[in-house]
Amino acid sequence: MDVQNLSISVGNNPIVRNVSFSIEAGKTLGIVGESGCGKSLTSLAIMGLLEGTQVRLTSGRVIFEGTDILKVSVSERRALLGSRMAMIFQEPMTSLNPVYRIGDQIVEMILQHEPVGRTAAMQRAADLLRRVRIPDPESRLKSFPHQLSGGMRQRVMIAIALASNPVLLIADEPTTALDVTVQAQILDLLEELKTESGMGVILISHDLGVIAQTCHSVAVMYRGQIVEACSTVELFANPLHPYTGGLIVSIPDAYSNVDELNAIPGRVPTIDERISGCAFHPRCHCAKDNCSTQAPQTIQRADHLYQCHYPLEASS
Amino acid sequence: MLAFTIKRILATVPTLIAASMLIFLFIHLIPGDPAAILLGDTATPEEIAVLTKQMGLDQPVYVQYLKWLTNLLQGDLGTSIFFQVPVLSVIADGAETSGFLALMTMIWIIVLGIPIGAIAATKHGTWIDQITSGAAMFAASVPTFWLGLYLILIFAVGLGWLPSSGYPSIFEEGGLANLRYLLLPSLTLAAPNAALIIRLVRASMLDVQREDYVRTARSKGLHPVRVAYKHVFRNALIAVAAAFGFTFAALVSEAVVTETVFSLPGIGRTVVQSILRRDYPVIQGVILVIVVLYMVVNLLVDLAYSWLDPRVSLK
Repeated sequence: MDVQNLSISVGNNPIVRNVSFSIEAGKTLGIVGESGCGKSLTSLAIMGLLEGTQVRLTSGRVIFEGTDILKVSVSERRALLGSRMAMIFQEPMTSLNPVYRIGDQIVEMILQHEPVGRTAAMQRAADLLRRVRIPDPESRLKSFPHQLSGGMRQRVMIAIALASNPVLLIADEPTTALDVTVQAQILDLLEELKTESGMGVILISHDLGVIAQTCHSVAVMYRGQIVEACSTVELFANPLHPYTGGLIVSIPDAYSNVDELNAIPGRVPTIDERISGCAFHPRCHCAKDNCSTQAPQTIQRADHLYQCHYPLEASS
Repeated sequence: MLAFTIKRILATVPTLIAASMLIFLFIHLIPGDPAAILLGDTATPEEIAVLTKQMGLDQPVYVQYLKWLTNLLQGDLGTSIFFQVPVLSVIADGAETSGFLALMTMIWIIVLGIPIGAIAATKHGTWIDQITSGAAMFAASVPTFWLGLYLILIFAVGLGWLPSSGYPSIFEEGGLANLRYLLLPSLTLAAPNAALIIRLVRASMLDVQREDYVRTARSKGLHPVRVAYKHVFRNALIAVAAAFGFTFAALVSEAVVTETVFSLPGIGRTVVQSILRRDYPVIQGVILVIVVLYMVVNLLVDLAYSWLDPRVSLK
């Protein structure tokens, strides 16, 4: 999948501007950024789930398997959802319909995209639950969502997403609502399933730790723009954007004894605040005069993209 | 579910006893002597005293209550002071009219309320939504007697399509076609309640539409109609089921007015007339029947609730 210059607005407020990235089969792309930076909107836009909201796609192309899926008809688009690309969400507790059994919710996905009978679909659903490591899948099919824990529900969501063997999985903060041990299990599971099926994964997170563990490459978003993108190894070894630098420094280190955690000063500006020049300059320790007047262009240095007038140097 | 139902039925016993006491006490608080009313203006105090004694009304209220309760447990609701026939047969006389009226009203409420509410929600913000919501607001605000009179004026007097009043039994000449007598009354009775259901279905569907699991359903690539029906509507129905219990209570009081406006020989009109005649046994009997019906309806609502929402467990 290739996303080119995607822009999204609410009313006249641009929220996501000129976001471009690409993702290959079998690879994981991490999108990282603080809450409200536009990561989730970007993924919902790719899935075409913004219908019926105030949010509008203003420009851009999303090339998926050779076609621009933003240009195809609504029904062609719908046929892709679930079958070729699937999504799991941040809130496993509320993402399953409380009034239907787990089995029926998985089967609904299978029957939507494949000409199989109900019994065969139910059998497939049990296999899927086994694949996502849910014990005793046959009896779990008959459970209602409220009878499962958060981690279990997220596994069910993953089972639904994988039902029709998608080639792209978008995981929007899949572990944020779960406690830490369950987080690790879910991430391991995603990693395994990706290796097994060879699908591409877009992992959205605000947690650089999660990204470091699972992703091949990373795009760092700040206020609706990708401010830095490169391979994960390169990002941690050699961050160029001061925002990325700040994020990495603010990861608590278990081995050093500190009284105060490192943090980026200030907060993410709200969407209706207008900031001239570089959006990050009010919070940036490297900002100079022209940062407040002149928006930085995207600069490419080898495979490393960044938007900054005064990038952190490799040595620092 | 069976255990729950039995338990719920047993739990209604204390409620019924409390209700019967309240009914009895409040009715005896109403000023006016049934003996005097029965005998008319020309009766002498002696005649009234004799009749009062005959009817047992000279005894203390608690004695009268215990007597009534004992008879009640034997299935005897007493004898109407005015008609001089058993209360049960007075109620049975009105039951056909009121029963069919209630049934037709419920059908209108469901047939009009639920689909229109669902359409308004799926067409949220369009002119369809505005027109239906406006009409629902109007129907909910118009008093029952006013709407009834206007329906008579338009469809009975003006267009002459439907009868304006009365209701011959379906067992008499005319058969089931006699139900047309109940068309206007049931519409009158249904209007404010259907309006309530329209608003409720619309509001809860719009609420559910924002739920995460609806987004999940859309991400499966389901057709929007299927999403609206299987995921949004199904969950919105849970809130609507709860409202049906209240709707029944509203129906009972509005039925009294409607039966009076359309001169229907139903239980509602019987109550009004019995109050005017101080016919205590009839009033007590009818109110008790209404209380029992109300409890049955609420039990059904609870059962429907557990059927609609698996998170509700019946214990």
